Amino acid sequence: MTGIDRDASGWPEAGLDAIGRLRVIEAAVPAAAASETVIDAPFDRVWAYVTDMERSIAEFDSLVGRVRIRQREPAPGGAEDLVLQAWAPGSPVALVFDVRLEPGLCLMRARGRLFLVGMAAVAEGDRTRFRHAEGVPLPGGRLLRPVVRRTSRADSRRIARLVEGQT
Amino acid sequence: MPDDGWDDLVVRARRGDALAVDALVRELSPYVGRICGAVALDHGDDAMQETFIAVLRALPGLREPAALRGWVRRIAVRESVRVARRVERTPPLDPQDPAGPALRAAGPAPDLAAVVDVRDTLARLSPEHRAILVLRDLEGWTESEVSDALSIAPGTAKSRLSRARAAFARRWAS
Repeated sequence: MTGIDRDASGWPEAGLDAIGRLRVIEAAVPAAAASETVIDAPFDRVWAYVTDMERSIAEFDSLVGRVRIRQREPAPGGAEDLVLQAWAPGSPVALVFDVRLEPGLCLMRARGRLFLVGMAAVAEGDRTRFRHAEGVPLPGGRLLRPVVRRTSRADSRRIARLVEGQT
Repeated sequence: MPDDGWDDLVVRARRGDALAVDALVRELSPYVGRICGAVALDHGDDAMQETFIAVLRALPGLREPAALRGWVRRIAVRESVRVARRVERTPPLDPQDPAGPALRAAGPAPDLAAVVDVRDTLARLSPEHRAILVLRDLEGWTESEVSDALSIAPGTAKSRLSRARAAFARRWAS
């Protein structure tokens, strides 16, 4: 028997970066649609903007008027688990999201309705590859895919414009 | 995670709960990454992504969540060999593994605990030989599990493993 040592350090291991993880997650969510773009700004600036959620979401998502982070707890691996409330413009009723946040990846799942919003970013030199996904894992949710795709593209474009416009 | 601990995660992931899907992916990533990396090498990341996409799309059909790990590894092997074949443009081995050019082990097996460039040696093997070496000698699967994962007869798995080890030893020594 050759007896290859399972602890041998030379064995190559594959991995998924944040964008790869978001792509994989989309595969499990019916009606998920995504858009991907390269933002002309460094990763740190992009991610600082995205994760300033009480400000940024209400700026780039036209369906959201106000956001409040209700709870924030550290999670293993440098991640954070958040509970976030989002109000549509003029609405007194908030949607509550459970959020997992880690460097380069943000997953937001609406309670009950299981609506997904995902954002992922990976540095590409001085620029940043950015992916935005939304999905509705409900029966018939696939019918909404064209709408979801449009809103995802619009959100990506606004995020790119807002970040690139920062000085 | 023990094999009987998957139920809740699998049920929630089937419903499209993105946080459960992500937890499932994080839990399985080291395991899948070892298989995909060693079989598909430079394209291991692609193989890993395709493995998880295939796993998650087929998840509603998984009857026993406790069997998740074995089911995932079959898909990981299949996708890794497929990606490696595609990029390396190697013809698949005959499923019956007929006697090809005789491979001869070059002397005693190398001390692989000290390996630093295993990757270079693996790169000179066929994807099928890489797969069987990884499953049997790195992951420690039984012959029966290996033949099941590769969809080949137990006798074929045995002879293929013997050839793969010999090929590895020969290339390692060259």
